[in-house]
Amino acid sequence: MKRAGTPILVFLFVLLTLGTRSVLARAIDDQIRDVASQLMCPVCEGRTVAESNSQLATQMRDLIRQRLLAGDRPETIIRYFVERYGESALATPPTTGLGVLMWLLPAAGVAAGVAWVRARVRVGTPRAWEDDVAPLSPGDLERLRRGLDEAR
Amino acid sequence: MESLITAPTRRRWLRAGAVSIVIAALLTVFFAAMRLQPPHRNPQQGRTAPVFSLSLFDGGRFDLAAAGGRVVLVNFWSSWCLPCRDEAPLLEATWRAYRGNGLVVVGVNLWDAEHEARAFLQRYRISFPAGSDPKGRTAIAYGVAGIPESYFVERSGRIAVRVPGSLTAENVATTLASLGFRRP
Amino acid sequence: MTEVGAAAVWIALAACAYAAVVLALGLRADRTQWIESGLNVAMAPFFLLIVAVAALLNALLTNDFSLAYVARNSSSETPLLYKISGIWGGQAGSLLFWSFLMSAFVSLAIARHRKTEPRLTPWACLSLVLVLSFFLFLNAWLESPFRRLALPPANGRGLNPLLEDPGMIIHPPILYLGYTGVVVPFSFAMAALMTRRLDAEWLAATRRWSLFAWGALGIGIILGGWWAYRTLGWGGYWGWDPVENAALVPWLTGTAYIHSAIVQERRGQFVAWNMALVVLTFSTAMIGTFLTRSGLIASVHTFAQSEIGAYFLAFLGVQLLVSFGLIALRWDDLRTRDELDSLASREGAFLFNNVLFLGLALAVLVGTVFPMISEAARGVKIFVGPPYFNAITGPVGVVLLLLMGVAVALPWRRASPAALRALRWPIGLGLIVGVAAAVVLRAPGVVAALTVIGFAFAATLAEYRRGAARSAPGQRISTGLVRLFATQRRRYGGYLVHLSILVMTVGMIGSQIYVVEREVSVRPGESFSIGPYSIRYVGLERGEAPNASATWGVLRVDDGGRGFDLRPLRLFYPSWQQPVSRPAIRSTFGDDVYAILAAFEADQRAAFRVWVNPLVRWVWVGGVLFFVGVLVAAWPSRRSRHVSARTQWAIETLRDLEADHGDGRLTAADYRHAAPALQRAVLDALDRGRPADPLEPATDATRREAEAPEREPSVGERTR
Repeated sequence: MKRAGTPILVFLFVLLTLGTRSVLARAIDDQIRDVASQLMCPVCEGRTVAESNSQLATQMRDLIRQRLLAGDRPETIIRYFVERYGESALATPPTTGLGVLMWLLPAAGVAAGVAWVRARVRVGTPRAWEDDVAPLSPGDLERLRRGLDEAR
Repeated sequence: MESLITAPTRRRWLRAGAVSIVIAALLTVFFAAMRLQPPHRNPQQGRTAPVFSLSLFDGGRFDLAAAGGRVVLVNFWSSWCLPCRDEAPLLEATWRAYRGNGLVVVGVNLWDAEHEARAFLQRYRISFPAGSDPKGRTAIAYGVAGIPESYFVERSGRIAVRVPGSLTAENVATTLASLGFRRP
Repeated sequence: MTEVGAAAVWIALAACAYAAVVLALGLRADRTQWIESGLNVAMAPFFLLIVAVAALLNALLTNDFSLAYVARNSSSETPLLYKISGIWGGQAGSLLFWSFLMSAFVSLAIARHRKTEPRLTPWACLSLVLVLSFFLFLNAWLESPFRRLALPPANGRGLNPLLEDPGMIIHPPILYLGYTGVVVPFSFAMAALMTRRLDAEWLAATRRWSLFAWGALGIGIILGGWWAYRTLGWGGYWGWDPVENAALVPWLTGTAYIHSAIVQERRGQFVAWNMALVVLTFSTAMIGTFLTRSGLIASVHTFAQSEIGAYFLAFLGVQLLVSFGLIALRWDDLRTRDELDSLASREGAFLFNNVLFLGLALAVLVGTVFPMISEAARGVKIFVGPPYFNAITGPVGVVLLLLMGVAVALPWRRASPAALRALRWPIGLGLIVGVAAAVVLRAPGVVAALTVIGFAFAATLAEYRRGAARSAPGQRISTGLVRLFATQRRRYGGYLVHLSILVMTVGMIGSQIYVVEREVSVRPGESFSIGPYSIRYVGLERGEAPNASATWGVLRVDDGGRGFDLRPLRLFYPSWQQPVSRPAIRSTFGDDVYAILAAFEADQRAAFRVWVNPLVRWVWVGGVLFFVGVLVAAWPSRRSRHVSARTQWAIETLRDLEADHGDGRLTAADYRHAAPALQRAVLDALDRGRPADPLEPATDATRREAEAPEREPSVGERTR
């Protein structure tokens, strides 16, 4: 009983710690990270607010923290920044207007690829060419085996 | 060398040409569609200036809401920024020249250490109100994306002009003229 | 010395121009002497550029601040190692180094191939010197590191502090090896198109070149991530920024290419496709160079101001036009009957692999240039950042890993039911991993990824086991593995690369998805907790770094055991306005604790950013494994010198067929159907390739075959 119990206890312990961790995963710091990684830092080249260590980005994260604690929804906070910094504050193309194109393009690319493959590559056609050649004689097969061993 | 162009090449050229034309057409359509989208409006200009309240280095307070009826030049600066040092005398001179005509100059210190900011004010003998924005809330509310950066707020409270980077004597003069100031 | 360096660049440019003209005329008029002269002169730029690089190095080492480049990228206080790496620390120097590496490849390619591929090499050389002369033109005319200042400063500004890291010493050269290395396969592809020698020759000649360039690009990317992680201080190693993407795109198309090239070797198919992939890989490498060198990334305005951008754009346009024009011109020669016996075959798997890799490359490329396009069209940069790229690469990556696991277990032609049944063990293991992951982690994306990783891992290991048992029947597995790596390096080295990708993916999942971050402002003595750790801020200390003054915070981390200290630095370089944060990292196989000192006050109050990054170290472990795998796969094998490429391919194809048959992956009927033709082809080739006189050097046989390939019954030939 004791022997079987220990692994089960360990397993439960692991589950519990990991479980609490995934509850903590919604902790405020992770929520900040989620919002901040959807915004571009206005003063740095190509870094998100989540990544950047610039003072502006640090202050933006602090503002995000304050707004989240005050109960604002992430979308509201993001809109706040877009109203001030324009569309270029967003880290992803908007899902309106031509931004949609950005999201459709890779899918369209793969779809076009698959369509091209379907059009150009025929599957399951019997291959006739192998039939042209008669099976090798035992002597030839032996020569082949020796030749291959040599080539190795 | 073999000749590049042989008898059946015409067909191939046509095909290659057709493919290139299609690609070029797609690219043109894409680019045109981008241009046809509503032109980008700079959000930092033309909207109502966010009100802010600043505790000043000299102990007082500055309230944008209380500046009603006057034009406000909001300047974001920092002691370590070289262009800010260059434009400090200009700001001081502007303040002295136009304050009687209803212009307020206010300096918002950003991303800085307090003692260095104070030293800066002393060195350039700044007399216009200047205070610090320690958490950057005001700067973010305006959409500041670099330093220095200046905003001219109209009497109605609208942001008339945003100047990213250094102010010059000319653009201060022309902007103020466009806001109805007469050269003193 | 400086003038010598500048002159060497000009002479190298002249040599390239001469070689290009003489080769073009010689090939047109069929004059052997002219061609030979062109080939000889094309070797010269390499030696001249050694002189130029040495001159730049000399200027850096002797602190010659009269050179604008040295004044900007070095100082008398710069440590020796970073003076050396100053060669590629700035734009002009790295472009010179770029040309230097490319010229080395030009010389190597000529030396290696002029005897064995006498028809292709002149054309390939023409393409090589044309590309090289473009870069030399930039070096000599627009971006010379040898430009002098009218008023030399007393001291230089020093290398950008962020570049003072061991990662920056090795990362750029290796990345450049990859970027410049792809020019060789591209040039041989062009030569094949020009000469209509479209079959085995060019592909065989460039097989190792492309593997090398692709591997170097991959290693360069990984080292770049390592450098970013150690110095940039944002807790991550990959930010999807344009410079990173610029290197990733050609790596993705290159990955598609090195896979589909095997289909041409084994089945004689995908000929046009391979040609297109080589051109795409080179073009995307050039686009990447263009993006990173022209200032386009910063903004459309800096691009418009920089002269180099316009030239690059013109070069790119001509290159694309010529290469795709040539493919269009030769389209009828390139077409093969692309028929697959079944999609459940290795060639079928490679086909999907190609579609997905190209889809990824397209997404990354478009995402990278989109901000620039939108800025040009509308005056506003619409960014395409990490959330977009993660959303695309995540699902596609999972499908690719699944494909990776399935593909290793599939035979060429058509999988037998038994081959598919044999997948049940790896699938079972994957499902066990998946269920465990589902219980513990729950996030559906992660569960799917881990299931697939478990499956692919098991399938690959099973493949090693099977191979070992086949190559050394009845012996220990280790003996069999050694023999596998000795005889089938490319295949089993390639599987090492597969394993490395799996290991890296595990590291990436851990560090991207389960990262915990905290941002705190604390006084000495205060504590905070992050993940499983409790951290106490002890206080600030000050000291001197080699050429900067440093302040660091001492963080005592309690990990439930002995604990450890972290000392994140903040460095003040006198010649740079802004201070630089250097992270402190404590790394284990479980997780990394990563801290930076963001700010501090006179009263010792300090702001820290701390991350706990699970499993990051596995990304680097995977990187090392990637290197080993590429090394094994690209290592030259002795036997390839004795038989022609086609015979070699035929032998390997036959061996694969026998092995697949032995493993029961092909049905007996399919084997009987396919074997005789292959066996006959190999036997004929061996008979003809075998030297009549044992003393006759084998290279003659090779040449004889190379010059009369029409007579040789090859596997590929017969499919048409």
